[in-house]
Amino acid sequence: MNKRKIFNLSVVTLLFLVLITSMLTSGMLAKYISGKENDENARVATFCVDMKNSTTSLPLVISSSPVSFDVAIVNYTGSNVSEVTSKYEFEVTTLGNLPLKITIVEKSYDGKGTMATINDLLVSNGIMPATEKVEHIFTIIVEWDTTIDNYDDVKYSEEIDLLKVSFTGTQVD
Amino acid sequence: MKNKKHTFIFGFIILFLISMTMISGIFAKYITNINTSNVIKPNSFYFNTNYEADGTYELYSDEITITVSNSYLGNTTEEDINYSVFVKEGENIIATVSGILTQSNGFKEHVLQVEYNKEYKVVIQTTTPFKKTIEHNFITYYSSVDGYYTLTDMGGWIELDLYIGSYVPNSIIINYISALSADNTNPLTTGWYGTQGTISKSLITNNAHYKIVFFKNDSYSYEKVTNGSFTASGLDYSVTITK
Repeated sequence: MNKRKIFNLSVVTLLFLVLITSMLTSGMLAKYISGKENDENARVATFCVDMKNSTTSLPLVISSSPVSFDVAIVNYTGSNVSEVTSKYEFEVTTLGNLPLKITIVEKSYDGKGTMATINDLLVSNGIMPATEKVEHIFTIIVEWDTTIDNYDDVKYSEEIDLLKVSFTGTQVD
Repeated sequence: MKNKKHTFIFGFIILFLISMTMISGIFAKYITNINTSNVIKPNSFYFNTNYEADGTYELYSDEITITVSNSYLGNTTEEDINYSVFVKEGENIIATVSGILTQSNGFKEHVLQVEYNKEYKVVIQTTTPFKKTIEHNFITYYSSVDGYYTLTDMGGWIELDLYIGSYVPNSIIINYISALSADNTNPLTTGWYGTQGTISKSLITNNAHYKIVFFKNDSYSYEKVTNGSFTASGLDYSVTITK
């Protein structure tokens, strides 16, 4: 290989390295910016998906009658609406200390997007479209599971349990 | 030729890196994770009786009195309690009574009629909101110790000493002359203003002395002390104080 070819190859290599470095650096320094009107800076689309739990009094007290509370999935915060389509799912779990029967039912669907499907304690594949406020509301009902043997044993009167709702919202496109 | 091959491989690697960098940017997604937790607890539940659970008790009576309560140390059950009381002689249930304790009516007394000189097991069982079982063992005895009373003139007043024997009567009726006034500071005789007073069963127990004072008023002219005894088992006792 003569010197000219070595020189040419070095220049090409250098140019490619500069190009890659520039792209990597631009990606690392990119920041998500919350939506602000009249912001002249370049920004990425606003993403917002949230879960609101209606329980105001804690702890949840189980009596002979069921107790319930609502879980609302929204794609906005105040006046800021998500600018990208969102997908959500959530799952309800307990520690299993109490013989409880938990049921999730659809409470309110505003016709926007795709209401999630409920499969036992997993709510999944809910879609919320971009740029318009959407609210999907579910009701979680907690009651004694009377199908379990000795569900009313006095030992449960001094037991507590923990009901967890694990929610994930994801940008679709 | 060899140099061209190296240049081609080198260029391919560079293009691959550029493509991966661009694709990774395209597939970047926003993700939100939220976890909430709520503590769940049952309604408070308390259910007790006037006897310690699993204890054995000797009673000089043909009655077993069970008082059930829905509270403990100031804490009260937050729901109605449905319960049943079973009296068992051996394996046989000889009596059953059911009841409900509400939040406004936190206790109930059940008087269970049994026989003397026998052994019983009393089982108290709640059905809602939780199942709880309490058991007590009782041995009943008949005692021939009768009750009696003594009247003593103390000068300014007459003192009545009542002794309740083995048997607790339903009530004790005391007749006294108008020249005497019952001591209204005594819980047994509170509200006695005429010439007769009644002591109910709930105020007395067996094998116990009770002293009642009757003050003489101005019309009391002479004294008379009378002693007697209670013998009428199963009937109300009657004490008559006369001049």
